[in-house]
Amino acid sequence: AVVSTQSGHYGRDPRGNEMLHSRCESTSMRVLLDQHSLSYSIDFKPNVEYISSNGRFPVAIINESDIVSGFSELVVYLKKRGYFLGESLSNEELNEMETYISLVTNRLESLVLYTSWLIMDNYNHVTLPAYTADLTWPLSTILPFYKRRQVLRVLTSKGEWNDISEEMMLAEGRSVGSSLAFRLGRYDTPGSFFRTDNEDKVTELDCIVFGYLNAIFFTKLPNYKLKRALGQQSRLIEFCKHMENARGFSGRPNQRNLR
Amino acid sequence: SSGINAEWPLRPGTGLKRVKSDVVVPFLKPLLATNTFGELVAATKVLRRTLEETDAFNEIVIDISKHAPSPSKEVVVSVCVKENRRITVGMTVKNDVNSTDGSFDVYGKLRNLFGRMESLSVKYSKGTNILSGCHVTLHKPIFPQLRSHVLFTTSTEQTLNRSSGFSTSDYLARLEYQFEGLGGLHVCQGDGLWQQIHGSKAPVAVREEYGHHTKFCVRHEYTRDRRDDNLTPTRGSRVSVKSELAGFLGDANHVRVDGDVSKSTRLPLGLAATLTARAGFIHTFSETSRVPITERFFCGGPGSVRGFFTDGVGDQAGGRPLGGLYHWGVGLSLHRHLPFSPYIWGLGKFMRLHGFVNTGSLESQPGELMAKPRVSVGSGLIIKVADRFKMEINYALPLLFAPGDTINRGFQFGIGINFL
Repeated sequence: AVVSTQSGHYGRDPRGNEMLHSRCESTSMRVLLDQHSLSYSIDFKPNVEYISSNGRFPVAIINESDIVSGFSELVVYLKKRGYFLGESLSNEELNEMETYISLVTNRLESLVLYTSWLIMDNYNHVTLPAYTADLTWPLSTILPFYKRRQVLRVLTSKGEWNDISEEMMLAEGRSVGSSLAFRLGRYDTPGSFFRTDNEDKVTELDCIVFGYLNAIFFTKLPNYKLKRALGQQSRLIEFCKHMENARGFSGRPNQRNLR
Repeated sequence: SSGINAEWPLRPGTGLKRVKSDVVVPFLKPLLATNTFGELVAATKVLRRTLEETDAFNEIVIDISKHAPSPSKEVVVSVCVKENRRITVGMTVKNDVNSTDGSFDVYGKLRNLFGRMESLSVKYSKGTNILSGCHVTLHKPIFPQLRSHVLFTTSTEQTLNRSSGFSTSDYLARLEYQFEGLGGLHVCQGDGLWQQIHGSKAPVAVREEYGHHTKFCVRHEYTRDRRDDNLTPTRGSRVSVKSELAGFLGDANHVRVDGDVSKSTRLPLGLAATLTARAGFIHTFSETSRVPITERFFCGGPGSVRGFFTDGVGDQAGGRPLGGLYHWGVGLSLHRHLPFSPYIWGLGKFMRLHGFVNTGSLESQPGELMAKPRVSVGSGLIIKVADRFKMEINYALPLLFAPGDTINRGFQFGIGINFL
């Protein structure tokens, strides 16, 4: 059976008001669906965070009946229906892929949340306007306060982020960047994280790493220290360029898909 | 004046302890406007009812006596009251007037805060659709000639809509003014509401309603009830019209009108007929503003068009009703006491047999409102409970319905006050 995402809904307005975290996830999801040649359309809903079954957004609404929230859930959903990019990988490579995906969804995502919500320059000039674009007063004052408190609670619940500072964030960013670059450095050209028969094999890991890095590199933020920390790894930049040029990955939404 | 002067000896100590006397005097002034003894008696009845409604007194003795012998035919009206307890704690079970939902309330009340008949009450509710609710209300009677009251309420409620499958968390601040006029009761309200719609398992169309929204609105409700019985009326009529205007602040931007009329009359052979009609609409002021699912009308069920599941008329998604912006309903009911033995073990006097015809519709476009009417017929038993609400056990047959409606052919049970 063919899985057709006849209406894939993504969170927040992709035409300019999207928050960094939402852009990371939505780029990852779009790239994954493109790799499976599944059609979708993009719509923005101001309440996508509440439509989500687990609070993660964007969400994909498939066949008007299934709601899939976030990249990880989408991978599981597609895998159950026979759409899995990494099916030719060995068990050891599969474990490695899941480890690196976990690195992105835990550590890199925490960095993105921190830089969006807890660095005041970014919060006041990018995150807050995007988050309150569709909210009326007094919700535009109350809800960002609760959301920011929720992000802080999530970050401090992770042991190593008990005492968060910018220096910690930069050190963490350099650590994540070097881990990803180390994996990419296994091959001569950083075309993808895995190879099969000496050819680049695009997997779910490539989709999510490209999604996050592309969003971080191309989103204009007043405080761009995270971008600088990750950009120190030239392999990551080459990986993103290779994905765009050789494989047609796009970090920007295809205009014909916009509803 | 015809020669009867009414005056009252309002002495300190006539039952007034905490309540200041200047607060009570305006209530007594209508007695001065009477010209005949009959008017005086009628005015004292109104006075009793008015003083009872303030909830400040629990014993009201009004004595009209003549000084005898007196050539001037003087009449002395004595009003003696006993103030209600300052602090009251209690429990009640109540049923929502316009639905089949009920709740159990635990309340505490503090009366006469400053000696001017104010009261402060705190109420905790739990019920069929209220998962938990806490209300704090400050109440003050004003303008006795209009029998008017001012109430300020702040409340928080968690509710569950079982038919649509969502829950709400509400924070409400309400200023309310009630007064009597045009033969009925007017209630004017100003609301500030912050509501979050949420839930777990629900169809996509319902999940797309989830999120926060605010509503700032003014509302007017007029109710006139001249029926001889509010549960099984045999004579009289009831009119209720609610109008709401939202859009000053917040997300809501609409006008909402909802009306309910019923007329009862006695027929031969012990029968009584009740004809009820309802209708309502919501109109938004801009094309971009949406009406959240909590504001929409629903139709169908034991208290509405019988023969359908609760809210089973209209658009559905995954078996869950989505509501509509326009609705109407008409019901004709014939009822009478049980035949042969209206006093079966003493319970028969609380029961009535009835047969009914219901019709109605619910749509989101006005042009389609009359295109697909739903019709059902049936018969059943009405049981009055403690003169507070009634239960109906009916057998209903839907004759006309639309694809997508969830019909309930057969026995149906309902509890409430106002049925169609």
